[in-house]
Amino acid sequence: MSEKEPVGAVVLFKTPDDLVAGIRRAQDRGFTRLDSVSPYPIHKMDEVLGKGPSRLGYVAAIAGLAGTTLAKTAQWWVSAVDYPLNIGGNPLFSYPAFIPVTFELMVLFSSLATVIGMLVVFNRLPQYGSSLLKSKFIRDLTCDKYGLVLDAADPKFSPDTTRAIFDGLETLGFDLLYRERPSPFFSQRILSVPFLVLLAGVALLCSSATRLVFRYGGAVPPFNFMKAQEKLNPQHESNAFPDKTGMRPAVPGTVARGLLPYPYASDAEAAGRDLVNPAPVTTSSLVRGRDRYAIFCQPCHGREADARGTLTAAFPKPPTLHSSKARGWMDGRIYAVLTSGQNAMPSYASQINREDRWLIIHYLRALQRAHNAEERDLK
Amino acid sequence: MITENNKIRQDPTPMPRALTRAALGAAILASLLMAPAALSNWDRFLGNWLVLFVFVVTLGLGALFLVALEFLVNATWSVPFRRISENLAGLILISLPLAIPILMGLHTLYEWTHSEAVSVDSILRAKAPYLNLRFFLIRFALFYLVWIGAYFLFVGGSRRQDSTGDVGLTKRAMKLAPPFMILLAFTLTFAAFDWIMSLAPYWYSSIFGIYLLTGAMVAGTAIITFAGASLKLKNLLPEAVRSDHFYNLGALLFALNTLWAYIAFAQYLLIWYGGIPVETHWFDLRSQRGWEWVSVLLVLAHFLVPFLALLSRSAKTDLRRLRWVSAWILGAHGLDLYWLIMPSVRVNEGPFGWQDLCFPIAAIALALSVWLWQSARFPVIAIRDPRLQAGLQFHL
Repeated sequence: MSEKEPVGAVVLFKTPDDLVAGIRRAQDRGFTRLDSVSPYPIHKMDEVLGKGPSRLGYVAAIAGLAGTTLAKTAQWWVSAVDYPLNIGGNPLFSYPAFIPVTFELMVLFSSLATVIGMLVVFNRLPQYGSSLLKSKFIRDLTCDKYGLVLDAADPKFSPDTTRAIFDGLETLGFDLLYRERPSPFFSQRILSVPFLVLLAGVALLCSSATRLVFRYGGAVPPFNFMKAQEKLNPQHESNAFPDKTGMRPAVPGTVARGLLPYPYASDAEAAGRDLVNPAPVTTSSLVRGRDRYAIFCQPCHGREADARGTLTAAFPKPPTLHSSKARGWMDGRIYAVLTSGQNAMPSYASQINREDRWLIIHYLRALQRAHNAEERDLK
Repeated sequence: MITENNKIRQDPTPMPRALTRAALGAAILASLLMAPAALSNWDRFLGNWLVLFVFVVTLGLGALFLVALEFLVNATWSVPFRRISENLAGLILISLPLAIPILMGLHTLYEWTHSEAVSVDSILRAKAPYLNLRFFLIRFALFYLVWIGAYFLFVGGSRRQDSTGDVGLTKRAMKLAPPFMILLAFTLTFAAFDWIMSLAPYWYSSIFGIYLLTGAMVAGTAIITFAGASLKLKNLLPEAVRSDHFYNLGALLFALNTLWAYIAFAQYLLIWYGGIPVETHWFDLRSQRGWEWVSVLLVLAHFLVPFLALLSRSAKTDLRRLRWVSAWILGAHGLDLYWLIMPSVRVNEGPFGWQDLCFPIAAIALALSVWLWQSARFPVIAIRDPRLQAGLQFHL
């Protein structure tokens, strides 16, 4: 080992002040590649050694920007391009909604990159050894003494004469450092053939034991009977169709069971002319109409159909239904409003079935008549 | 390792004469501009006065917050800066007379003080047990009782220590700091509800209190950074106050400013997502008549510019950079309050009229006068604080 070239040298000192004096002496003699070893971090040592501020911040900044970009791109792709979903009427690419995820990804990326960058790039870990560990001073350096490490790559370094430059200082010793292995990372001891065979053997043993227990050992499979059925689930792929879509669109002209075609969607006036209220006016039908009205119409139109509903603070206020216009409309015309919606009012076709819509109109007629009662109604 | 010159002046450090002239000039200019502004649009003048009042209150409370924070966490790095915070906390005292025009103009500013409006409005009626004149004034008195009481306990105790050197005063301040922090959070939350949120009595946001509280913390830290960096640049601070101390101040400013942005965005996001007209109405007012540009400017001025300017490590030790960024943040805090208050007071008017110009000048005059008045009486460092030596020797 002694024939090898040294990779550096370590000088031992008793106190931090002696160490600083040693560093100053080495710097005076033109040494630039210096490092210090101490049992604990010494404040301002980086300044004494002339080391600039850490460049780790740039790693964090670049990784943070990468996280930001990735988050924004991914959300834009998912929410606005690949699977557009209308959420509360907001734009598909909604900046405010995307900021939390962007922020989280920025923090995640930059914190991971900072830790990994510090360990791998700046501290060159993992290493299985350091030439310093073989120094005779390593016990002192990790306990109560301070060391100055000189790099052999320094142009001023020479194994024989360097020791002399510390003459006159309070040093405790001088030791040359030698490289232990050609490459500290791929140690032969770790990547040796017997070890790899052992690793493969353990993996094989574990997986075959697991397989045997689950296949033949009478183990109960996990509770998934409901999920694992031989059927097509919504939004799943199917190979039975050329377009591979499991959910089939209806054949053109299909009429769903219980549904009647409604040709008046674009012509409400025609509905008023053509449609006649098919529901009979009975006590029970008026009661049903009143209940449906209370559930679906009253929040906006009010209990008396006079536009004094409870939601009017938050939603547009509807017109009163006691106007001569509303009273003059035929039942079919009102049915068209319920079915297709009008102005701010949405369509209620999916929420109120056909018969109930007609019953609501009966009840509305009763409300209108009660509000505009004539003398004969009072008898 | 590093030898320090710890010679510290025991008497008040004389401030440059130019500061007195600047304060006087700003005061004269502001009062000259105020008269026509008040005559031309009294309502707008009152709204501006409310901005000025809340600005002064938040600066004072922010400074007092830093004083209490030091005792709360037993920080040593901030001991050399504490007297600066204490002197500027005097803004709380000056804010009390500033409140007189507000209290006289309550009827102009706050809709809920109109009994005829409350009687026909079910929402205002439901809020009347809280939003009524008597309870408002009781709360107002309570806020000032807590703030002025804390001012005299913390600041007065520290000044007494200059002559007595009594360690018990520091121990007492450490005992007082935790309850004061809780009280500060509550009082400033309700002050935010009372003075700003109730301008638009339909609107509510449960995060609003912490919004103003973080605004106050940022503003307090900014004015102390500004004063500290200016003093250091003029060589009026001891040699031992080094870049290590200013690094901490800058980092605190950076963190608090980012916290403000976080809170402000949280408020916006929830209201945007909910999309309920009662809530979005408030932001809608700030998205029209030119206020949309103020909203954008606020994001840039109160978050993006300070964030980028303070991001790097070297920025936090660069005194000139710290000085302009903290002054910038103070301006952004004023803009924030202006943006919170003005659109609710003058619903049909745009931002930045000539009538508003006198108020930033008045704020500068007030802050400078309080600073000169206080620092003429006490040394610039808490000279006999038991932790001062540790504070001066602070290393990063």
